Amino acid sequence: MSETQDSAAISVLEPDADVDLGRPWIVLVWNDPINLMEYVTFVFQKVFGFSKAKAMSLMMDVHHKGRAVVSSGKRSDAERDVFRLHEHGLWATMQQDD
Amino acid sequence: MIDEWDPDTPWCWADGEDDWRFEPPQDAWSLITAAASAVPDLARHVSVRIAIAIDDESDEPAEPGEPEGYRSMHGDELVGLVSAWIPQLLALEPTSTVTDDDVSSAIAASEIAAVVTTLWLDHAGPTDARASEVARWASATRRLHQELTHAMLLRIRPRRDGTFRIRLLGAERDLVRTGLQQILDALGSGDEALHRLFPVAYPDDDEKQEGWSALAHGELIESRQAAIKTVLDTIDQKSVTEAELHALMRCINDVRLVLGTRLDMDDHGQPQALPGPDHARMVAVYEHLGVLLYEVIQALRTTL
Repeated sequence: MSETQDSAAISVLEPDADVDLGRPWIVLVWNDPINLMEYVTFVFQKVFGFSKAKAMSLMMDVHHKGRAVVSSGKRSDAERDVFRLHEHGLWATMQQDD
Repeated sequence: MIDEWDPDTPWCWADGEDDWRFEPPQDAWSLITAAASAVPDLARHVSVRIAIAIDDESDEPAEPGEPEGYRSMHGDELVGLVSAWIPQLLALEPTSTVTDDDVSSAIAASEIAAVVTTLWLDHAGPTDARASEVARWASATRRLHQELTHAMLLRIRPRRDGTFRIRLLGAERDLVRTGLQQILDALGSGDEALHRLFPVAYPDDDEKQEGWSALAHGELIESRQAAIKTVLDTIDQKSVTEAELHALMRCINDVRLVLGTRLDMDDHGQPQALPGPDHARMVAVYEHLGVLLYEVIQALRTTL
C-alpha cells in the first residue's frame, strides 16, 4: 500500500473521535470545598475497591494538589466510573491521556 | 501507641434491640484475659491519683506533693478496687450475647486495667523483663476500652447480619426529609440550584459533553430519585439494610452539596455567601448534616 492511501484512510477515521488511538482515557477527581475527606475516601474504596491506604492517598492528592487520576482505561470504562462518581456527588471529569 | 488491630472492624456488634455480640480478635482477647489475672498484682506497684469526693469523710492529711482536692490511692486500697472490677471484664465472654449493662461495667473495668498496666510500665521502665508483655496487655485493654465506649456512643450500630440499628433524632429525620423533598421537587423542574449534582464530564470537549449529558443526565436523575425514595421510605425505621444506609449517605451528601453551593463555601469550608435571613440556619443545618454523614460513613466502613 502506498503512503497516500494510508493517509487517506486515516483522514477518514479522524473525524470519528471515538476511535481508540491507543491513548487510554483517564478519570480525574477535582478538589471541592464541600465533600468531606472521609466521604471521598469511602467512595473511592466503595466504587473502586481500593484499600484504605490507597484511597486516602488519592484523597490527599485531590485535597492538596487539586486533583488526582483515579482510574484509566477504555472510554466506556471511564464513563462508567465517572457516572458512579457523579452519582456520589464527586466532581469527576475524563479526558484522553496526553 | 498504635495497636495492631484493624481500626474498621468493631469488637462489638449490635444484636437485637439493646444487646451486643462481643467478637474481639482472638489474640486480643487472650491478652485481655492474661491482663485481667495479672492486674491485681501489678496494682501493688503503682499508685493512682484520684479526685477526693466532696463527701469523702476521710480525715487523712493531704499527702505532700498532691494538689488540693486529690490524693493517691495505692497498696491494698487500689488492689481491692481493681479486684472488685476486673471480673466485670471477663463477664464479656467472646461470641456471646451481652447486655448494655455488661458493656457499661466492662468499660470501667477495661479502663482500670489499661491505667494500671500503663502506670506499671512507667514505674518499671522498658528494661524490666515483663515490660513487652505488659505493654501488649496495656495496648489490648486500652483498645477494648475504646471499642466498648465507641460502641455505646454509636447511634448507627452495625449488626453481624449486615443490617444496622439506627436511632436518629426526630429533628434530624425532619431535616433530611425536608432537604430531600426540595431536591426531589427541583429534580423534575431542572432547577439551576442543583447544577452541582450534575458535573461536566468532558470539560475540554463540548461535543462529547453534549452526548454525555443526553445519556447520563437522565440516568443520574433516576438514580437520585430512587435513592431519595428509599430514604423517605425508611428514615423512620429503627433498622436498615446496607443498601438503605448507603442511599442515606448519598442523600445527606446531596443535601450538603446543594446547601454548600448556595452558601458558596471557600477552600477552608467557610461560607462566602452574604448573610441573609436564612443564612445562620443554613450554616447550622450544613454543619449538622456533616456530623450525621460522618456517623453514617463510620457505620458503612464495617461493610468494606
